[in-house]
Amino acid sequence: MSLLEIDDLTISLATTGAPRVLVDGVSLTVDSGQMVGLAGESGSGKTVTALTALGFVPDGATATGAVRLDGEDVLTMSKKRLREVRGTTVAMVFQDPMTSLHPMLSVETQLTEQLRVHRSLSRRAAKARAIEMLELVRIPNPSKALSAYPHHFSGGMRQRIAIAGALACEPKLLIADEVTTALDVTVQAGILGLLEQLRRELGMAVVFITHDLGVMNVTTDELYVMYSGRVAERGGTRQVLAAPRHPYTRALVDALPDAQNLGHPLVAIPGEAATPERRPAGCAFHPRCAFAEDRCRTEVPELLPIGAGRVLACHVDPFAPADGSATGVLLDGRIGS
Amino acid sequence: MFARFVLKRVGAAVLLVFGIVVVTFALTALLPGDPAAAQLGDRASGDPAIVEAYRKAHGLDQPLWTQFVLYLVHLVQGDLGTSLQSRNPVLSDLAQFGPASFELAVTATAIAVIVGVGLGILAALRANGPLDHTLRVVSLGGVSIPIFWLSLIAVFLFSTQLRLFPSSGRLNPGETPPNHITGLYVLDSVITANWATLGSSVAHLILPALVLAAPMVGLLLRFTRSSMLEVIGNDYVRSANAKGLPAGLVVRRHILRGALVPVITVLGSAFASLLAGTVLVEQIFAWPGIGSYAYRSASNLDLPAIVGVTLFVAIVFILVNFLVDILYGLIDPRIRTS
Ligand SMILES: Nc1ncnc2c1ncn2[C@@H]1O[C@H](COP(=O)(O)OP(=O)(O)O)[C@@H](O)[C@H]1O
Ligand code: SF4
Ligand SMILES: [Mg+2]
Repeated sequence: MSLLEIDDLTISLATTGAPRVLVDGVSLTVDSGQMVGLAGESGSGKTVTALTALGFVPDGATATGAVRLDGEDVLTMSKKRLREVRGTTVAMVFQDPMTSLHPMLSVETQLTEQLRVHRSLSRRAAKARAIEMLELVRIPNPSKALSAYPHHFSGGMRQRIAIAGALACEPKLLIADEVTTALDVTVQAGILGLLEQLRRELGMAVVFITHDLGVMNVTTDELYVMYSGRVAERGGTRQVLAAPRHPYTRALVDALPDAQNLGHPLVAIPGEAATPERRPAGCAFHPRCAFAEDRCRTEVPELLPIGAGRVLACHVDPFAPADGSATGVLLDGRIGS
Repeated sequence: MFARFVLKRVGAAVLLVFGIVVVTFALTALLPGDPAAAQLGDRASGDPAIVEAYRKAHGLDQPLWTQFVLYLVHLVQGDLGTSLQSRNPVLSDLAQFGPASFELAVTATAIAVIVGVGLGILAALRANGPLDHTLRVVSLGGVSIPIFWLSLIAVFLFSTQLRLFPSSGRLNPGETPPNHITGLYVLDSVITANWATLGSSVAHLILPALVLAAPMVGLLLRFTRSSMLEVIGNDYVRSANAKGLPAGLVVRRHILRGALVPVITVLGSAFASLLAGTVLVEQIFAWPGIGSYAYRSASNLDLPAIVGVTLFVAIVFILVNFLVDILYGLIDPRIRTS
């Protein structure tokens, strides 16, 4: 049994016209201690998918399929049970630390309240634990930081505080949703390093979400690439990034800056990203895909294994290796280290 | 940090009071009509010698700024002049009528805050449900039905028809007020354990206080609801829910705290309109307060009394806004520490 098993998850919003499908048949597995990446352009459904792990479904939307956390389906959990697992089995850190921390509550309150609720700790014990957490995320002068408020800290420090809060009750699974996106590039590396270290030291599983493959490369074992609410391809992070098989992944990787074109404009993926309101029939990527064939326009490609633990949803598979090996066409080493 | 914040507000309040004093002085000094003539009455003001003596005695022959200093000195000594109609020092009139108005205004404000904010929270938590729709009508009614109408309807319904509450005064005719301690009959009855008077004073207070509270209830309800809804959509509320905190705690600690800041800022202006409402309500319910006194002074062109009431109301208003500022700072650390 895996720690998190998302099984054929579909999330749709009932509207006056056809229902808007935000997430379409996504399956995703996270084992204990594993670090899994979730990538894709903004709007591809990463956040909505990940939020279901905590039992959050957008207002007015219905979710079908199953989201099993430690074997229990969170989609059918009672409200009471949901509040029990949130923060203890699974915790989440959000994109923008400027808004995800409460501006009017002290750091102490925001770090200790979950300990008081879930662990029934005394005020003093919770405070001691909070100081421990602040040390863990390397906030200087922790006991002084406790009495401060979020606006006293920089963005990077706030994100560290948010991480400390998420980890306070030692969750088995941490969902890090674009945790570096709102931060300066110089600060990003520090947060990434911290996540890596925490995962090693605490042995927890992490779902790392980003639209930026450039930061993905550093951290995860397994990578899911999503497009328009569906998984486009999946595999070991290094293999997928070194030899992308899906034309969409390939385009994302091509859009990354490298040693040669550093400072030059990135190669953006042509065309507009599909949205739940206007999702093209067949393979949702086909209007933007240079390899599209007739059936791409009508038939949704199935996710099929392509060997070496990788799966792919593409009718054409234009980057399949000639020798039939699983890796596919290698790129010029801009990825991986 | 907080001490400095408070000190700054105190400074601002003192400055404002001074500004009001200047304005009221200008009102007396620059208004057409000779104050000497008004104070002396017809016969005496016909005699130039008496007028001259009066002007000299009251410094009216001095340059304006000397008069102003004199005015300040009198103010500091609590001398606001003598009311033309009551023939009492204005200050003692204010001391007599102030507590009645204070009792009414504070009760109305307390009702408005409890009911308005409470219903606003409910409306937000049940947004777009039947309760929310009903409360929207209540709120609209509160802010749009004129107090005058509301008073008449309340008197007709609860007093004339149902005979639940008396419709005028602070006590029944002939009833003796409780010993004067604070001047607030309800409080004084409690302090002196005078239970019969307590019942009577509460019964007399209810109708005017409810009527006075109605517009503020409407305003606070609407404001609290929209402010709550805005905060509920915030990232930090999602963070709180993601921690698995009990729903009640999320509402109390995370949502309410954010939502109350804008609500508190309207409290000040809501209180201002409530003060304006007291004039009308005190008239209708024969409530012997500052509002009635102001009304009588204005209709009799009783200038010292008008100035006294103006000063008094302005200071109360500044004080309330000062308290609102402090409350604001207590709730939002970004305000008191930056
Ligand atoms: N609460 C919501 N209600 C309705 N639609 C939503 C909601 N949250 C997200 N969506 C829609 O679902 C799609 C996927 O969004 P999201 O998961 O946030 O994408 P990502 O995290 O990959 O950028 C988007 O089209 C977005 O507009
Ligand atoms: S299925 Fe067709 S359109 Fe979709 S990515 Fe593959 S080749 Fe392109
Ligand atoms: Mg997102």
